[in-house]
Amino acid sequence: MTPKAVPLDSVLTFEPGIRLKHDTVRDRYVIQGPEVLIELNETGTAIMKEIDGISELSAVIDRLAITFSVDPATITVDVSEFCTALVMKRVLTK
Amino acid sequence: MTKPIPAPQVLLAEVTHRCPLQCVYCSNPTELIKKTEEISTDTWGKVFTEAADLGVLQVSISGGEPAARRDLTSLIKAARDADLYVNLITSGIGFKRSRLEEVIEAGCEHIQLSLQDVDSGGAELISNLKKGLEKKLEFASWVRTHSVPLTINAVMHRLNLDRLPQTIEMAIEMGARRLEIANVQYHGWASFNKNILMPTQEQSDRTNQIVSEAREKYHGKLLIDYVPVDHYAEYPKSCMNGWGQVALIVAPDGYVLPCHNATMLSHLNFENVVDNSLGSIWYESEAFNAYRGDAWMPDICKSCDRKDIDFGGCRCQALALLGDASAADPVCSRAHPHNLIPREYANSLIATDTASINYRPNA
Repeated sequence: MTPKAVPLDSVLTFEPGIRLKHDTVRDRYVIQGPEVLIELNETGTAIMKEIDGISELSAVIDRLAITFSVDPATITVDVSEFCTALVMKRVLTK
Repeated sequence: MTKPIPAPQVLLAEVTHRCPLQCVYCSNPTELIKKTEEISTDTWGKVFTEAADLGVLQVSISGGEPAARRDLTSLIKAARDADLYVNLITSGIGFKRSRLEEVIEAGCEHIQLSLQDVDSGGAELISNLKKGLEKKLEFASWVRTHSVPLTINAVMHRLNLDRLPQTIEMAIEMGARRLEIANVQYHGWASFNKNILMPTQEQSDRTNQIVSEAREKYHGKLLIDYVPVDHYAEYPKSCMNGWGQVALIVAPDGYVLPCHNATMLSHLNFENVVDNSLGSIWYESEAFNAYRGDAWMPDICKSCDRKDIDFGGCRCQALALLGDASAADPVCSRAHPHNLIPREYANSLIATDTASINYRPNA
């Protein structure tokens, strides 16, 4: 079952009980939550740092595109899929 | 070449064995630790700090019933001060609403509430506590007024498995974000009640079906973790995700264990946080190194392509059913193709009379 993609005008925020942590022992960022530990790569970390509960997803994508010096159109699908998966895991919410 | 020992990620802090319930499948050791043997608030503070420095990211504060400790809020605060993610594992019994609020205020980030049965009589039969279900429903209604996520841990066995669909519905009504459907592990006190609790194979098969349908139905709403009846499985469970690989347990008296039931492995010498640092215990102690890697494994496990998936299975189960803690897990169909253990063994246990039920005495 493929979940419906999060619309680009949605404002995402962390679900209660979810936090982003810098794991200094292993030098990585992780998402922590109820029996949840998700290791993030550099891209995932950059996306999670932009989730602020204020910006629409399209604005998040624009900012990431500037950070990585790419055309926003080239990352829209990937960022949207990443966020959709985290909504289904109850890490992010609209 | 031996693989380097990874840093631990998870700490299970069993702060007490005291508990108002007397569950017939209690997973704590058969010998309970008394209040007078429990380590102090300050020692727990040291444990949390050392754990975080080692690389532990989350702590589950468990028991017994953690609320039996008067210093529970101090323990939670100490764990948060060490920047650990704090889970509280509770029966919900013995909490007043004000105490729950203090616990949340102290920094508890996730609450896991046990559920014995959706049927009040069934819950009482298991826990020997009257009105337990009603108290749990009230506790869940308090949690729901806060933003702290709730997990329901439903322990399943032959007497309540037929009510699994209602159990899933109740978890949703209680406002749970996660549901653990955990079949009883037949160690510790549960081994004394095996014949009453062991599900039939038909129940086990039906459960697999119900869980997969519920996961589909509640996708994105309720996360479901499922621990099947391992006696009916083809391969062993990946016990503790490998001995001394991910998690460590600190018992109420400060002894550090690689697994919740490890004290039954009486040939091992466990070390205590009062005498040693958590780091030296994790990396250097005899007990933590006993079943790391594959040197201890029987040949059939050593040469098996699943050895990095299930790590040879459960050492406690090997000892309990085969009398040898280094044997392949008795569940494994590759290691024991002609053995009656444990599928037929499981079926042979089944008794219908619950009069012989053995309640756990309190600590």
